[in-house]
Amino acid sequence: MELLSEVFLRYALVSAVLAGGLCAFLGVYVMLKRIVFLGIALAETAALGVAIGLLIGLHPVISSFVLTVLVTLLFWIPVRSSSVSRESLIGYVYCLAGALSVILIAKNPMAESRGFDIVSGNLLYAGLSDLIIIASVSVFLIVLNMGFLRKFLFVSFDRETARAVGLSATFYDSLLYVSLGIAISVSMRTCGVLFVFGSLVIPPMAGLLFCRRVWKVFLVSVLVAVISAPVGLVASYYMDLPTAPAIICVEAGILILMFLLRRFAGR
Amino acid sequence: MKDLIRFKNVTLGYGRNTVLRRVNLSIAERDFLGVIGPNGSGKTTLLRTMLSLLAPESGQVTVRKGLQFGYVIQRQLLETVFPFTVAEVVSMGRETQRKLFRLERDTNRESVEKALRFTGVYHMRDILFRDLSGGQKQRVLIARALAGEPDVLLMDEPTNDLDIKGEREIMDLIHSIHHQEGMAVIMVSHLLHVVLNHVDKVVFLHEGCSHVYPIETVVKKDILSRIYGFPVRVSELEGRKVIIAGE
Repeated sequence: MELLSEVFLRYALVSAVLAGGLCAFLGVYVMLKRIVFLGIALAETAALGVAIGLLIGLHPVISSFVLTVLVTLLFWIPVRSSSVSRESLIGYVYCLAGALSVILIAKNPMAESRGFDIVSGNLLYAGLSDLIIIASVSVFLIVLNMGFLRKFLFVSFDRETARAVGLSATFYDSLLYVSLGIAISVSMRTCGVLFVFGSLVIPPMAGLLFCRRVWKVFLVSVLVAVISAPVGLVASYYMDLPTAPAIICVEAGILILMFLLRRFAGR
Repeated sequence: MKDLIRFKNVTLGYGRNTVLRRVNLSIAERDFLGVIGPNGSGKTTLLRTMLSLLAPESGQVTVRKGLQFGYVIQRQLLETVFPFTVAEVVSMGRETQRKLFRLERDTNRESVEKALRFTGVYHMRDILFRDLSGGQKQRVLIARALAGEPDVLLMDEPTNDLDIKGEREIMDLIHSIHHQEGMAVIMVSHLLHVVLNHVDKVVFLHEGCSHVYPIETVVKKDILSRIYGFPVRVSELEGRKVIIAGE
């Protein structure tokens, strides 16, 4: 409780819970659609957006948001080439975005001092404005998903049949991808690449490993992220660890614990 | 009989790769059409065009206004990572009738339950789709298509990788959908014996061309040998057509 008397820690906790929960929720689609590396490429793209924003004097959330959504739409366009796969394109974007963001940070005296934070994330810098943005985006995306959940799942599971019966698979798929882009860009600014990618992958893995119903997968995924945030924050505070990596380690630890429990229970 | 779908001098393909040329074909109410051809002959391409998933390179495809399709995809194309129950998969067939932020309507529930019962998978409704056998999965996918109350049912290789019992059961189910429900059925398969024993009309796809024959003509004349460039005879055994390949 002593910990929560500090305003910056309260902001950090709420930001980690919201961003982690949101990424964990949307991460279920990432896992189901088998587009895991899209998550890391988009997180890196969001980091590049932050670096561009810092360089040209634009609010980093805006530059990150615009760039991430644009790249998300690029990935959504079907790859028709038989010699270059979508995975290659994702790898290309990841490398280019990573390299460019490091170059832009190195060349920007204002950003260089915070370069490490952009990559690893430092939740302790989260301010009220960051929190308000994450909260607003989380509410918007969760409401959107409440309305479109069945359609998103149908299009993700069987796009061809969804189109055949008259569902606009293009619309729902693009909406889902843009949601992902928005969530990543907004979370990236406060939490960093590692936190975003970790929350997109590890909690949904726990959900899929442990649950045999789709709604439970979403629920467990979000719970793992939400529980990991305070535990990781407390650990980072008392053990003097970087916050976002500590939270990701807790998520990973919970996953291993759940796996062992599952094995122990003989399921 | 009214035409549900009509192809007039249609050429199909993907960019520079032309798959089928000058396809002329019409599908009427209550038709049972089989689409046969070797692997890569354009069977799925033809099906995708009927479903308006693929635009023709040239020619005209006319689909009756308001026609509701039921589509049974090749089950091997579906990912197994999704933890969907049988009931959840079948209820996808009603997705176009669902309104956003609204509670499930009774008509949707009734249609799903009717489809589950008709296809004999009602007792499996809470089991995960991925845990089912090939034949059971096929029934579920047919149930999903029926849940949408379609005018025409299109199926892509519905008996692929099924054992002889599974194949017979699925074909009996499709047969009853056609005869009891009076639904037009279009079935793609590379298995000659499966198609010839059930359909009324056959479309053969071979080397980029399509040939449409009533089933009686296929059986009586030496059409199969000409198409395959290889001796193929159709004989009858206990009322069922048997394919004999070679001399």
